[in-house]
Amino acid sequence: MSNVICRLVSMVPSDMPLNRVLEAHRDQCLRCQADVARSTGMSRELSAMGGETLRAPEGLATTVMARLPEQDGSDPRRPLVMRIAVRYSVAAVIGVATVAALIARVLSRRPRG
Amino acid sequence: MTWGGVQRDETELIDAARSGDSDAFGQLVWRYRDSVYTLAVRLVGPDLAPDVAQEALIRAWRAMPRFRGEAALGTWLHRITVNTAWTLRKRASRHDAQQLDEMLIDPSTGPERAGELAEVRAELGSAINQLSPGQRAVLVLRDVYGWSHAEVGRELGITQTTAKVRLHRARKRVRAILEETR
Repeated sequence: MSNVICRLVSMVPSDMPLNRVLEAHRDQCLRCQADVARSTGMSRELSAMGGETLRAPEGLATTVMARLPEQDGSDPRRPLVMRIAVRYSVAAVIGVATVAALIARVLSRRPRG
Repeated sequence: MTWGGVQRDETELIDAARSGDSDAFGQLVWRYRDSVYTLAVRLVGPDLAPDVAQEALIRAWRAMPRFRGEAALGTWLHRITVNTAWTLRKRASRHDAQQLDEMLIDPSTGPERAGELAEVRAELGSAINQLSPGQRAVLVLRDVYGWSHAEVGRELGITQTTAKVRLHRARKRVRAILEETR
């Protein structure tokens, strides 16, 4: 039983609150506490990576400056916007086709008088 | 940073770059190149990162007239870098097998500490490297760079719920990999 509760505790994302039962279990379970400590340690290590800056390769800035095209005010997020638009368009087409197929099916089953 | 012998602040440089002054943009590139490159390395690995960083900075130049200063320039450049890395991720996936040791050594620390750090970070980097591109992007942006779920979702074109689920899975996977290796 305890094993199952340990697994339940581990399944709840660390930034979500635990319910009272799980919280009480975690507070007295050494295995869960070790698990939390490992998670916290990993978060700290990941966060520390965010404070580091790596040195860009020599020549990166020069290459960029040599390749600058005309400024056109284009939206750098455009590929993402396009991807989302395509995704929703496909979903809309599938939805319309499904509804049309259902209507056609209902109509074809109607007795013709 | 000098400009014809005169100190120019970032606002001046941004205004000039927005008006098409490539020299001013060059100074901004010089200031932000390491930060853009670092994010690119975290997202796609060291092999493809120079390409992503280059492309992101070129996209930034093209888009400069649109920059309104609502976010800091660094934040704006990071968003463009994330988008560039994301759109190039198919290319990135071909390089995923590459080890990330190179990216994980912080040159600013002393040799002994750098050695320990390099070992810990190498394990962590190697674990991150084994994530799917989607999980990796969410983990890097949220846990390494401290973005909010809303920002991560917006920049990756996914819902906040999806971002949270991916993050949870990514953390679990990284932990499992680390436990196997330690």
